[in-house]
Amino acid sequence: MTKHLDMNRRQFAVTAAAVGGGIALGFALPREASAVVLPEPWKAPPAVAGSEINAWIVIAPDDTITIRVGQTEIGTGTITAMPMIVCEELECDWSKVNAEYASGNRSLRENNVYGRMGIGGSSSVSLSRDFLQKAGANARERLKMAAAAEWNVPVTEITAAKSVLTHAASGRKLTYGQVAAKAVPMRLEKDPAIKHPSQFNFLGKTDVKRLDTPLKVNGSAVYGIDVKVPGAVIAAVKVAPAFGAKVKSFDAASAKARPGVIDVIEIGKEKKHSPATFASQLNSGVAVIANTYWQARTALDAMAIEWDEGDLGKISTESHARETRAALDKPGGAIANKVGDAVAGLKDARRTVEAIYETPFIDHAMMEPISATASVTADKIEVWVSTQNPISVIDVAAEESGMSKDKIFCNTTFIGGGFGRRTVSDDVRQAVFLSKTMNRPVKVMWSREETLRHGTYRPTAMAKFKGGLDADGNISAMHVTYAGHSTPVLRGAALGNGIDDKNKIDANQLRGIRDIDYALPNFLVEWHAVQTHVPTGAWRGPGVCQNAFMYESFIDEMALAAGKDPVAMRRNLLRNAKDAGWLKVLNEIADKGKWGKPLPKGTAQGIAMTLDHGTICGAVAEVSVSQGGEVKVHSVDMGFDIGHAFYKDAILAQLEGGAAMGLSSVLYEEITLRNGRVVEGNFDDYRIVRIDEMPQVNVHFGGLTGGDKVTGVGEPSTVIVPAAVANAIFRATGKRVRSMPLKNLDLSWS
Amino acid sequence: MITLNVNGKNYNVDVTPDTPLLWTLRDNMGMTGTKYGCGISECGACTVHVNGQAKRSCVTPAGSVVGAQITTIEGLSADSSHPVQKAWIELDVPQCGYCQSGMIMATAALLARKPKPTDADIDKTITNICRCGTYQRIRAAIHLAAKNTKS
Ligand code: FES
Ligand code: FES
Repeated sequence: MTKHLDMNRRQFAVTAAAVGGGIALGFALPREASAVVLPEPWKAPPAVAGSEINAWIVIAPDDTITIRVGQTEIGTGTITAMPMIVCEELECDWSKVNAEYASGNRSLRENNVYGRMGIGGSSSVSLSRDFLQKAGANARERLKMAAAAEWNVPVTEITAAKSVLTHAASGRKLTYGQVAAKAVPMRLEKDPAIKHPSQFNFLGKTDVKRLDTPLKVNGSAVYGIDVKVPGAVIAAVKVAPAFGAKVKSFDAASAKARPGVIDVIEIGKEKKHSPATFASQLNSGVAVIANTYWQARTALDAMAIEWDEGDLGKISTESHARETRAALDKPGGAIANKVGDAVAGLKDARRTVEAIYETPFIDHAMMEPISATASVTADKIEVWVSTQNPISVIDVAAEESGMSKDKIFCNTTFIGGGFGRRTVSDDVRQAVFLSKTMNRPVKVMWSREETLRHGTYRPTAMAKFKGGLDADGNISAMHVTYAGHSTPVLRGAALGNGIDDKNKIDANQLRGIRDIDYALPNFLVEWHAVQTHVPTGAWRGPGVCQNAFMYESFIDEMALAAGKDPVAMRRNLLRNAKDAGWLKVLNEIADKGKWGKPLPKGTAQGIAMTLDHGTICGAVAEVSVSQGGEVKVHSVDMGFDIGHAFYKDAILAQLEGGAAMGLSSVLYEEITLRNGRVVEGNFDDYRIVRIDEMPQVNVHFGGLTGGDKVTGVGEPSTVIVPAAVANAIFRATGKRVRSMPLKNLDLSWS
Repeated sequence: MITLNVNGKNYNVDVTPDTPLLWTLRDNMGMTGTKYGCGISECGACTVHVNGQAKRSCVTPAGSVVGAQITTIEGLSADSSHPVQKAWIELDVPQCGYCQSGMIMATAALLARKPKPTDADIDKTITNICRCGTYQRIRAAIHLAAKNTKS
């Protein structure tokens, strides 16, 4: 292989052909009959050999093009959308495109060639677009050079479209497959320009079918929990139910006497994690190893285990809430925002409004329970896992085993939902530890109960809002005192640095309050951290998923106090907004959602807006509440600004589905603590909305502002629905919702 | 050792009769299209057909279905040509896809019993959980499959 030149991925021109060394494998399957991703998506497809033009693109002589995808598919459509972006520049025939996961191991060996491989923050498209377009443009230009050399004509006379290179003057044509091998050694002087989104002729113009759907309707898609590795045994695990407690004793002998049980192993006696990976630490617990899951699980359930809990058993939802509320009254929180003088502004206000809001711990509750398989041998580690972050898998496996990273391979499977949970590789650490200990491949499987009780939960939050109105009924001052459990999982880990060490605030927890473009002449946000032993992390739309509810509800309280219509109030607050998307989205939802239309008693609309990872979003929800207090959400009209819509159907899917998740979070979701441990264990007491509760979600595209903006759509609808619903409930019942979930509240009215 | 008839074939499997059908299919027979979501009959990810009826296999002891015709997602059709699968493909219903085997099996059983289900029928019968929230498309796909099924 050619020595590595500068692997900065912004310089494709000189480097792209140097990586990987030429030949890779491609494959072709009849389009109709099969998906063009393998059921085991980590495997290199067999059959037709092709030429690797650059790390992303392999072209076979039969014109089949394999495009590598760096971001794992958690259901958002990345395995289709990423190749679409490459295709836009490559000018290739989409009907012959196959997708395959890029290798995390290769990315580590080749100087991060695939860029940021973890996913989160609705960012797959926005962060990858630049380098994927460059990858496509690089390959297209080198294919042109190869054709030019073949025909001995200037490269400028060659055009590329639909996988065909044409020399118009002579009428000659060659397909990409015919020149691919000759394009491999071609070098470009400089990077070709890439298209501005406004120049796209494939993205946003053609809606394509998802490449993975066929595998997901016949049971063939292999998820982490489905992986079969020859010789692997199954480990059912239980770690201390009170977070951080330790195993005192367990009855291994009785478990070993049961059918199929091979061994009983204590885990977590020795910890090898570092501060950066502490969310992946081996918690103290016991694993029962057997031939099948049912044998392991029943033996584990039957086994007596005693825990050493110290004082942890004293922690409860109530004790944590008391501490959090006490923090709200403490002066001198860390300053997160300061505009003007909010304290003086409140004193001068014509009228003030004050309210305290709170939100609980909640779990991701992805449908596929936690599982990971590892095979640790003397010279290599392989891991098969549903992960949002293959690089963290390799990091954690290396740390736990002591093996160097270049010998560790992460086989990313299909993923039964992530939502932020599958970023820390705690499952992987268990699998690596057990495989190393047992000296054979081990598949770790958590029950639903273990999965729900050992999550990385959305942190709790409580906020005291004080708002002042001037004589015209405009908000003249706002003071927010915020007491939150912070998101330590984010610190230095997968999703970036959550704690702003300089200002001592948790920036993630304050998203959706600090960064809203409302015109507030005096604005103060203070932060207090209230920690417990509960592990927390990123939940779909971190911070905003609770803050949009709190903040937007309070804005409605201010509108009510001012005697103003909620839409008019927001229009006024957004009068100076730098980003035109705010007003555009507001007007779109008010218009399409028919804001203000007459509705029967007990039925009302609610509106809310927020910002998530650069995407402005807003919703109008129509909700009815029976006199007995039963809530029914009929429809949600959603507007958003992500700049451009590249893959419309995937956007619709994200906004529709995300609304259901937002609805579950406002209606039902809550992780409660008793005796230091999580009470809820399964979907009977951790309820998720079902089809009969699904509102009609109407997605409106009129808020898009185009231009240079490219942001994501994976989280916005989840974060906006609770606020819109809560505001509608107030207008339907006169009862202000100041905490989630609604199941705890009496919403009856007369 | 018990004998189960799955997707038209007999299999001898070495499980105790109280082992749930779900784990028998997944661990002993290698058929992993049927998913584990909760194990307590709440989510429907494990739905299979037993003599044509939708059953949650996580709470169905293997011993209780000896002699019955069991159909799993792998056996619903040989080539994804069942009208429900075709409707699911046409509307690109799945997101993560994990719940979809169960959704499809529950829907196929509903349509066999009630070829033109109303929205109320769907609300009552399709009680499976989809965390990705694909319900809007599931409903549309059920109606599409009903339309495309020759009665
Ligand atoms: S796994 Fe059977 S109903 Fe959930
Ligand atoms: S598609 Fe993910 S749980 Fe239904």
